[in-house]
Amino acid sequence: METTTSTTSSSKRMISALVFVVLGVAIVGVVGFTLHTLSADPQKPLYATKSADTIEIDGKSYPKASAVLGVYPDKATAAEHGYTANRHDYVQYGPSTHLVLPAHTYVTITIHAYDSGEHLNNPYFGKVVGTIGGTINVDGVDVNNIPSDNVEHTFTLHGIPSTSQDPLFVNVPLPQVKVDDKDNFLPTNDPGTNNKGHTVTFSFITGGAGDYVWNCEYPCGDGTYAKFGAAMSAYGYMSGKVTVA
Amino acid sequence: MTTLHNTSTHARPIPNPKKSLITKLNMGTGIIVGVIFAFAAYYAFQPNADTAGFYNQQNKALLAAMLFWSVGFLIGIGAFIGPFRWLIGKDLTAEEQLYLAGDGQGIKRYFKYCTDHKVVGIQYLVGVMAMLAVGGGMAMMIRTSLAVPGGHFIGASVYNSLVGMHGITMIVAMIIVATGPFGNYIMPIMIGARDMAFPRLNALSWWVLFTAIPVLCSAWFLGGIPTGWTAYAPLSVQAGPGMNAFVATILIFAVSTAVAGMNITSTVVAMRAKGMKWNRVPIFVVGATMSVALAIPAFPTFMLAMVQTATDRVFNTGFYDANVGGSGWLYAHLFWIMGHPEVYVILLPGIAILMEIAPVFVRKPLFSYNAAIMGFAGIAGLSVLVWAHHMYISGWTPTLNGPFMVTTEMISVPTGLLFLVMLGTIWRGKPWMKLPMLGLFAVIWNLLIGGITGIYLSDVPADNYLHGSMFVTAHFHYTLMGAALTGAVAGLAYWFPKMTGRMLNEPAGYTAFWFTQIGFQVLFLGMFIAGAEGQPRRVVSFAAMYKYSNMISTGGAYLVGIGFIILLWAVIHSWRKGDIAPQNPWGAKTLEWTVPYPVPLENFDEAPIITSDPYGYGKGN
Repeated sequence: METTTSTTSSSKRMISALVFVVLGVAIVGVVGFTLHTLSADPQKPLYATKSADTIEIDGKSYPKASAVLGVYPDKATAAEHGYTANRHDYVQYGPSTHLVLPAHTYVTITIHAYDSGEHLNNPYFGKVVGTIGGTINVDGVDVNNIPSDNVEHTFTLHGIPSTSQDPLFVNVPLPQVKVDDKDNFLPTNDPGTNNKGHTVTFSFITGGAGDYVWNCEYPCGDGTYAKFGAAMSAYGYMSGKVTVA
Repeated sequence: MTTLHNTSTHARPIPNPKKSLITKLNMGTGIIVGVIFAFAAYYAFQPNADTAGFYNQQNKALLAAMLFWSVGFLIGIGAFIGPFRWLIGKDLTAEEQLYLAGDGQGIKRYFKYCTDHKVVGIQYLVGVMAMLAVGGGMAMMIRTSLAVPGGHFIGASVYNSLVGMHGITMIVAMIIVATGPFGNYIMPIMIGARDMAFPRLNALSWWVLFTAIPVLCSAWFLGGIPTGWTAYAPLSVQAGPGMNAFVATILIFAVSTAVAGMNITSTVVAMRAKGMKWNRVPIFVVGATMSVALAIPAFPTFMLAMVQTATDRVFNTGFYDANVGGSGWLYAHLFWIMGHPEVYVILLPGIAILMEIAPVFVRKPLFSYNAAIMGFAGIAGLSVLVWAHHMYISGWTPTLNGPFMVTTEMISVPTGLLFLVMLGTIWRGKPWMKLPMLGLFAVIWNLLIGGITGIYLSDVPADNYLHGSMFVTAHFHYTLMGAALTGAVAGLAYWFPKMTGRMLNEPAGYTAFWFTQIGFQVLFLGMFIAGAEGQPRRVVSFAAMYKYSNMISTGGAYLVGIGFIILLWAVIHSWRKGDIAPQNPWGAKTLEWTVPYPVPLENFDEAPIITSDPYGYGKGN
């Protein structure tokens, strides 16, 4: 094979190749870090408040912890409660969809629910599963089920399939705020009555450390049909993660 | 091969039809008219009270804007001037035809509606390299995000879009990676043609494809593509406005592939040199033609699937909505009727390139040309009968799983023939270990792994476990990237001297080869392990038990990334300052090596007449 050699010296070629590689890595890196910054979760994790109290269940003592969440029909309602991190005007949980819970702890979650609803696709998610006693407390009353046509949203916590962490499954249906009550529907910090939202409280026991996810099983997005778009298909609104640490 | 018959060769004046509109049009005018059309369509299809209850207004306006952008661009660059002039009875003059062919226009012709197949080939080459670079960059970000459990380097929603955008960018790039640059630049010369059968359609196929690129990129600014590249319904129907970009991209791309496929097939059937009987056609031409011929029936089904997705999104038609009598399976069928043949649309040209390379670098005839043809034909034929193996566990007619398993496993027979041809050609040979030849050895290994793991996935019981896992991701990367892309890169190394007039920098090429191939094995063997253990694909979070395999995969990905950057440097540097290549640096016998660089406008000064097969090494001819 005969070729005519070019005039570029080998050292120049080597330097230009190295510079090119560094530049290429830098471009990918800069784009990556830009995406990393832009796509970062705008919400800070919500750490459960640990209590000095303990509780004994089935002869075993557990420390206690608690967290408070809200479900808001839109961005404005969330903002009234000081939760402004999300960009879109979707139905949303707040103040964060990333909960951090202590391991091997009796955790009590309180959810202030301010949204209306329609009808669950799957009545199974109207049942309470995985809580202490198999019940939730709705405005002071213990219930183990909410009829599927009266569910607003659900808080359904489950694990990523894995053999390396303890199983955890909790399903909590949240009752609707009735349409008839909408005129008086103004969320407050102390929603104790029907027309000011519902207060739902439930407890469960965490296992060892692990990563879990939760989501709403009530189709509440704005898609052209089936309502699984928008809030249901975006992170940070009606789904999130739970880190047990 | 010999060239005997003198036809026409004389110096021409550079055409300069100053009064013609075609001299004023280029990529810039295309962009201007395209943007005007896009804005006009967007505002024309805005909501109004009469249709508010019927249309999904946002989707309608966005989709219309994207499609009108494409049409506007083509008008602006002058794609329709020829047909229009013909319609009004004032066909282009000979001088204008020469101008359209880019005669004497230097680098400007690459930014015009140029009908010279060599210009189109270079446009495809640059476009493909850009797409692969962008898609590869996205792969680096995906792997960085998956480096450690819960790493979430990229936020979850953006991660979803990254996976979808990486997938569709790479699929589009891979479909054209061989037939685009080499099918356009090299193939017409290989068969002794002066140009493609339909030069204007040839330019149209590239510029139509070009208009899809900004459409696809717009998805990033419209909320992304949250469905992955498969765009399954109903996810695609209920997805946000970014999904319109995906739909429009596929609609535009399907037009481009149909035009290109028809053109390449017509060229090979009708424009072969005198004496080039079917058993003398170079094997790359056969593979590329089989590939595009397979795409001609395959892509319209994907186009139809996207038309229905668009009407579901815009008009609420419900093709895929079970509530109103539609079916999500309908989409899955339409998609995979395209999707599996598409794998072979990608693979066949890559293998054919290697079969073209092997005889040259071993100096032996191709082992059983007929077996190679049977292999290509068998794969092309069977590939349209295997699509439902992607749907084993979807619940669609489980009784048909068995027949589809059989057809899928049968495809390993013609694939085996291709292996036989490649191995038979190098058997007991003393290969000239240049860069293209290294690609052959890499592909034999990678395709072996990809093929064998595919047999597991074609098996219904095994697929019940492996379906939707990282095992699948590793498998198809071994076939598409390990075999088809490596084959295309080998083709680039082989034909680089003919396309650029310069030799590809060898030390950089070897360095890139070893970085990419070693990194590739580390990356995807790690992924096989994670998949076999059960890690689902497309999921941003994974359990701690998969951490080591993912860490290994990410390390391998970085090696691949560095390797491809080195290759990109080698291509750019060699193109600008590489050693000047002789006319036939490899001593090959096919026709493209009989023409000088730069290749004349009509390729041959003398029309070639073919008197022997192109692989007669050691036969004294």
